[in-house]
Amino acid sequence: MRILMKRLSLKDAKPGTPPPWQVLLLVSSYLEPKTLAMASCVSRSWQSLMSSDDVWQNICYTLYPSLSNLKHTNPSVPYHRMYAMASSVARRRLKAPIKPRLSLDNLVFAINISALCPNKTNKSRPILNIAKPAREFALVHNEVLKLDIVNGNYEFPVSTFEGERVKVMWNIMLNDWKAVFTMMECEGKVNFDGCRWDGWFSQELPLPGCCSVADTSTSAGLVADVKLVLSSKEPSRISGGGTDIRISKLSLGMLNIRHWSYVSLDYGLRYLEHFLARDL
Amino acid sequence: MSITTENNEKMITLMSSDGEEFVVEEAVAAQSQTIKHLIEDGCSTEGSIPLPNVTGRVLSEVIQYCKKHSSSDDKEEKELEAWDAEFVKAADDHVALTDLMMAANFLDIKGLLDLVAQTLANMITGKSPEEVRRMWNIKNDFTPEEAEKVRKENQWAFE
Repeated sequence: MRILMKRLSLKDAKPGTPPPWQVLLLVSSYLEPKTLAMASCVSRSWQSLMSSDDVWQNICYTLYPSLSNLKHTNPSVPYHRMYAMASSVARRRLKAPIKPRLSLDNLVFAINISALCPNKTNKSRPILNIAKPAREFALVHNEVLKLDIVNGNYEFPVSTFEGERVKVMWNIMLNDWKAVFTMMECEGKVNFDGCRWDGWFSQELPLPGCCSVADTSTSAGLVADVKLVLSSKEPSRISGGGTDIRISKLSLGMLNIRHWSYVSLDYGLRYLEHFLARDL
Repeated sequence: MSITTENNEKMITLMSSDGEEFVVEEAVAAQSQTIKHLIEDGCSTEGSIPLPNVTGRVLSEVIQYCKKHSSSDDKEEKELEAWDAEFVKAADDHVALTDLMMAANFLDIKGLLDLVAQTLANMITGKSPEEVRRMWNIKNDFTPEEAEKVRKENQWAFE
């Protein structure tokens, strides 16, 4: 009996003695998945123990219950591998998306807004025609892609603004002029409320890259969004045939139409990257 | 053999593998599910209960644990936790944790098994395979190919 009860002490002998298999078996159920995986690399006997289905089955079922059916479809796949699969996907999900390579500093925004003549001669008069580094516009709100170009800075007298239709064009270019992406090219109405004209324009954006098949049912769920407010320099003259106006508000944004919220700056830049910066 | 103390506590005699006898209150001994069942089956009526898998040295440690845990109630949980921590620390020095664990397993003392297993688990946690091998003098018997394969399979844990 005494011989059988051979002492296996952890500290008596230095370096220590390997713990008996029975003890490891008991301890294995107290180990975290990560430690089990690590311990599987210690030796052959540790691997057979620490990677066994007995140990991993419970872990799998507790943390990833949906995997239980997978085991039935292919019983030869060990539980520890199913766990590794599931956990790596779970960790990838938690990982923050990579930062876009593009930044506002790479971009030039070009805005053209013109008034369409009411007599349908297809003539238009420019209201605004600017191209500036995006940074100069940039009043980025809480890291969403919405740039406000605030009043007063761009004053373009228009003698005969009497219609109610305008054309809005918004292009985004790389600052080395190697690529351009059209965010918006549309015509629309501005509404006169007695002292100013308001317009809100939006245009759906295409799906990026490989997904842009000719399937009209799929969309990126994104729109370019432009808000425009024009006001008269001399309110008393508004009633006349035409008036000098100025842009009192212009804001540009990229809107997610599923959530009705402006996309984050990083998201917007990643989207633009597909079109502008494939080889950046 | 059962004796009764002045306060009417039934006493049980336990005998270790090396013939050492320990007289303990039944309530203390019954912390062990194995002993409890033996008592229920009437094994304690004639002489002492033999425990062929536990040496006297280990058994005295186990009894120490059982005494403490049968006399404390839930209110003293904090104090008990601290006592447990000291207990495994001492066991680590004197009686090997593995011996204690085998005894706790054989005697079926859930609390003690948890305590010791968790202590051992903590010793492994956070260590690299090489550190574990060094700690317990384990031979790396993988062939280079096997080592690479097992490392690849568990790569996620190293990231």
